[in-house]
Amino acid sequence: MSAPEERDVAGIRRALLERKVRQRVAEKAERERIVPVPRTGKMAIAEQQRYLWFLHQMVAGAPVYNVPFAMRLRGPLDVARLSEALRGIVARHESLRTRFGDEHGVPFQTVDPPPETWDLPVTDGGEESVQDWIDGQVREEFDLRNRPPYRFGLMRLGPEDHVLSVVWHHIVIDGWSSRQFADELAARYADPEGAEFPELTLQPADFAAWQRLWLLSEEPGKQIEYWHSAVDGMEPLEWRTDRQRPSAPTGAGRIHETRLPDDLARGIRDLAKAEGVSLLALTMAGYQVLLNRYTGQQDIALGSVLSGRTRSEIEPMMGFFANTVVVRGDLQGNPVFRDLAHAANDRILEAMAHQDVPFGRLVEELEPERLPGRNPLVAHLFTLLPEPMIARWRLPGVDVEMLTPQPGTTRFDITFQINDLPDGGLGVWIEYSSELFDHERIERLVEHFTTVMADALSRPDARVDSLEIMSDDEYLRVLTAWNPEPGERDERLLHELVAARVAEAPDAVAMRFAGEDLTYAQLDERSSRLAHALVEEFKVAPGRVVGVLLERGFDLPAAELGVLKAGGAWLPLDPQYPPERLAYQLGDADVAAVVTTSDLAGRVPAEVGRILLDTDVLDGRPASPPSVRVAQEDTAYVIYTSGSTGTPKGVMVPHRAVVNFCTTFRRMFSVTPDDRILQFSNPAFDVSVSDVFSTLTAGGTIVGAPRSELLDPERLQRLLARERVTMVDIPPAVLGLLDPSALDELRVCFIGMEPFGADLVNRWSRPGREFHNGYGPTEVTVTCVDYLCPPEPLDGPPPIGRAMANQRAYVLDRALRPVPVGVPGELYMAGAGLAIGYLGRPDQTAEKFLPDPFAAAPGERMYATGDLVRWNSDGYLEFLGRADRQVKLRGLRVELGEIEHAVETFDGVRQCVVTVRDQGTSSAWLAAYVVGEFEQDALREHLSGLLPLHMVPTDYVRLDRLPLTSTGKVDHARLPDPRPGGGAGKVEPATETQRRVAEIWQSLLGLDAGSVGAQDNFFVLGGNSLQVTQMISRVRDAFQVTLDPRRLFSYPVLSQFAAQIDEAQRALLGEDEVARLEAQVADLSEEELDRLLKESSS
Amino acid sequence: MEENVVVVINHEEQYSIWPAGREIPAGWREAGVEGGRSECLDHIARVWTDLRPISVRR
Repeated sequence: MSAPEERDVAGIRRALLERKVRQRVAEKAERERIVPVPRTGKMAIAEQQRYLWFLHQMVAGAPVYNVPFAMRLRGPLDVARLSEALRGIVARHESLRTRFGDEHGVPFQTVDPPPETWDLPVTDGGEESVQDWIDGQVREEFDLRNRPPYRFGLMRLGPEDHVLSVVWHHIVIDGWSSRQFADELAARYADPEGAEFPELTLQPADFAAWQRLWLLSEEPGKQIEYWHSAVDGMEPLEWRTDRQRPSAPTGAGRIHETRLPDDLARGIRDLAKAEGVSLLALTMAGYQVLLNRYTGQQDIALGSVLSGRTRSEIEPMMGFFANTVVVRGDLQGNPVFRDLAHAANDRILEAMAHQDVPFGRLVEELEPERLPGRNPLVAHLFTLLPEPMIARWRLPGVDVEMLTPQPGTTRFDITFQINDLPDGGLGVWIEYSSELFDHERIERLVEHFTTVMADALSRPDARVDSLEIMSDDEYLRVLTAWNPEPGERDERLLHELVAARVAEAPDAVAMRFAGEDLTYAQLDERSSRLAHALVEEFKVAPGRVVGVLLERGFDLPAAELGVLKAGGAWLPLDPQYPPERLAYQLGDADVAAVVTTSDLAGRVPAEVGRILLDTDVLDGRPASPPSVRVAQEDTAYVIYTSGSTGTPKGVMVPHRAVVNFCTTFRRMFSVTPDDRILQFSNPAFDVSVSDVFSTLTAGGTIVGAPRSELLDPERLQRLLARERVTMVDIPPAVLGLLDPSALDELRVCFIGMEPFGADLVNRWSRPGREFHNGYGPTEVTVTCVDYLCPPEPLDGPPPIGRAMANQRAYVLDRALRPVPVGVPGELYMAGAGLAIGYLGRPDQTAEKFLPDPFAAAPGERMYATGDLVRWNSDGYLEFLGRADRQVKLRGLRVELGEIEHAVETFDGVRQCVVTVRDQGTSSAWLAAYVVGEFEQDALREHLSGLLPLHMVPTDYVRLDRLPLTSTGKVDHARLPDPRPGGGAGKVEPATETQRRVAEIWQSLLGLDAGSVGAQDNFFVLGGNSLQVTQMISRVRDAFQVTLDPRRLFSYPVLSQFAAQIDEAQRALLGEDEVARLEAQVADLSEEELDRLLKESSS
Repeated sequence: MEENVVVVINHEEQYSIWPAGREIPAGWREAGVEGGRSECLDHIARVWTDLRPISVRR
């Protein structure tokens, strides 16, 4: 009998327990409920708002966070009724009556009573003024401290034709609320008397108060823990921008709106439904594939905006609750598209479950590396505006057409938003930084997105790597249309082309040197005699190499031509080479002999045969060339280039390539026998091949001079004028030293070898003088890509252009696929300019000369240049740097060459090498080794204006010369340690301002007293952007000056920042006052100085 | 992880390498060696003794 009772007792206990649990849960829920709080003068604001308030301070009046709506209203409009409806909304929703102030850098909110007077401003305007007016409405700054956070206005175009502009600051309303606003406006306008709205018991200020308590609970900790693991090891997205990111961006932006094709939209909806994934997940997966192709990154981290309506109490509120979350896509291992979409769906669901932590708080917690001018964590958003959040602006009896106001700003680098339109279509709304991207780039982004989505829909089981992002049209453009049509090639040998000129005009002058002439006939005879000597005494034949070790003069072209006539290939050797390098090249090329002179012969190793041109060795030999059989594929010359491994490699260039170059050159520049072409280049470099043989094959005159004359700008200037030189191919740095005004006969500047700016072109280009930017590695024969600068002035560095005749340029990604316009890739060259390969190095030849998958003829090769380029939208190649000099600095890709180039633009700097120290660690930093005269702070300042701050080197080491390897490359191992003591060490603050700033930083960042030094960086110490305003506020208290918070981003180092304060203080007093004080101080005795200093510091 | 490549050769008996598993460009054929990049390049270093196109070798 006892058992059922026991069961009953157990049952009762269980029931009791359940009840208690329910009560507790209810009590807990009651405690966690959002409840009304008293309205006081200074109320807390929500975290989302705090972050936005801070950002609002940072943009200094720019309308970045102004949210505009504008619509054309056609039909009978009751203006009074519209005005009253707007008033009703403002009266009902506190958010529209909220102002924001701050105390010691901490913002608060004040809610005003409903407005007593009300007026909807109406202006008259015409059709042509509509866009300007709606743009003007959104661009006006909101004074959040003193004025309402909204601006409504009506423009009257006619009695039944109006434009309504509704603008508010994002700090009070988000996307979700805009739908409410539109709905409420429609209802109030439709029925001013009858429209009833439930009383709002809760308003955003109540949420803010609740959120403060919530943030103190355990829940945010759990969510933050999730985010810590979610962003662990995250790689920032590095999409190469069209223009250099300014160190102090203005936030200038544009909005681009369009619509996906309807059948694609339908397909996307159908597949999302079939797969059970959200529209956001499916489209984001496609976008991830796209960005993977654009950046080469496999970790694609994007921001996405969620509504933040995770509690039912918030739903009726008009306010700012939306929140940004981070969603990462992992493309490692080349997943199939379907799986990528499911993974995106999972990540988005997780993000939704952890979306309550405000983004600003997340940034503080995660402490990502802060970069000036960049959004923290994510700068690129992909988001979806769901149908229930799309504002439906309707006014009964009036036809509403939405317009697109342009705030002219952007919040992120790019926000790519899909609008889930009520009509079943999918809209695309993009806000992008116009400082970084061209409009064409954004249009192409949509094009590529459309292509990849269409391909993914047609085969969701394809691996993402195989999905197409480029349309067929774009393929054709980059592979075919932007490369020259194949043309006729001259099938003769190089020396046969010269022989033809000899026959035409034997007495014409082939070369001028030191005031003397060498005729074509003389050149021909001397080279033929040498050829006989080479064949007879050294058994020179096709495939053999002959060294040419000569000073500049008539012998040089004669020797080169002589080797060709003997059937061999010449190897130019610089008399300035160190003996080891000379010996290495002679041995490596297994030369048959060296053509030289008595004074240089001592440099040739004893075992190598030689011909001394200053002796009688050629006397009596035949003046007509020996008979040898040479083919166009035989090597004409060998030139050594330094490889990435450090060992120089001999590039074998066949007759076919150099003949194609010379004939192209002649056609490009219409060279005639009247042309006089400067021979500037070192004969050991292949530009000299152009100087000599482009001239000789065209029957022109080479103008030579001794080295000393060429390297002295004044003498070079005189030489060019005296010899009436018509064409030059000289380095940009040398051209920059010359005066264009006195050189009337100079009709072609063929400039290349290193990048140069617009200035040079604008100074030299003029009617009757062509300015070309040429590009080419030795492996593709002198120059293979060329750009003819337009006659009108340039405003940026010229592109390198397009492939020259019978050549093809491809820009490919790592998988050897063409990349779209604007996307960086490695430049590959194919066609008639290709070298045979590297002498004696089959493996390196095979590695760099690959099968050409795009060639019309089978079996062709393409050369991997190792240079990073991209197509611009006009179809010209832009040079970006060496592919292998790209390093990672705290997760960001940095082009060392770009930094070096910037350093070298500083007056007084001759040469520079930049290296990364502590690479791969979070404390990685850049060291610049600089040859030249410079003042470190001035150089740093100069660089801050040219480069993003993370690319400005931390340390500068002055060197007399760069240490070189035996091959003439910079010897990185021998660069001195910039911080021999190990680590930067702390530099004691030197001035009173520095000491006080150090104290402020220490207390604000919670660091030990005395730990901050003059060379410490605010952000490296852990300072985040939210602390910036607090810091500025404390600086104002301490120094009575108000600095623009952005200053800190430009001058993050303590000593620099302190100098800004000093400057601001002086500016406050004015020059006269400062001068007076300086005079006073100058008059003080040392004792007085001592005494005063003691007083002021105590 | 290094992706495998195949050794390929063209009508001029010039050698090169190409990503394994990808369609080989017209005019090229496999030379029967597949493996890591450096392995294949080492093979080429051994077998490709005259870099000149076959049409001009004498």
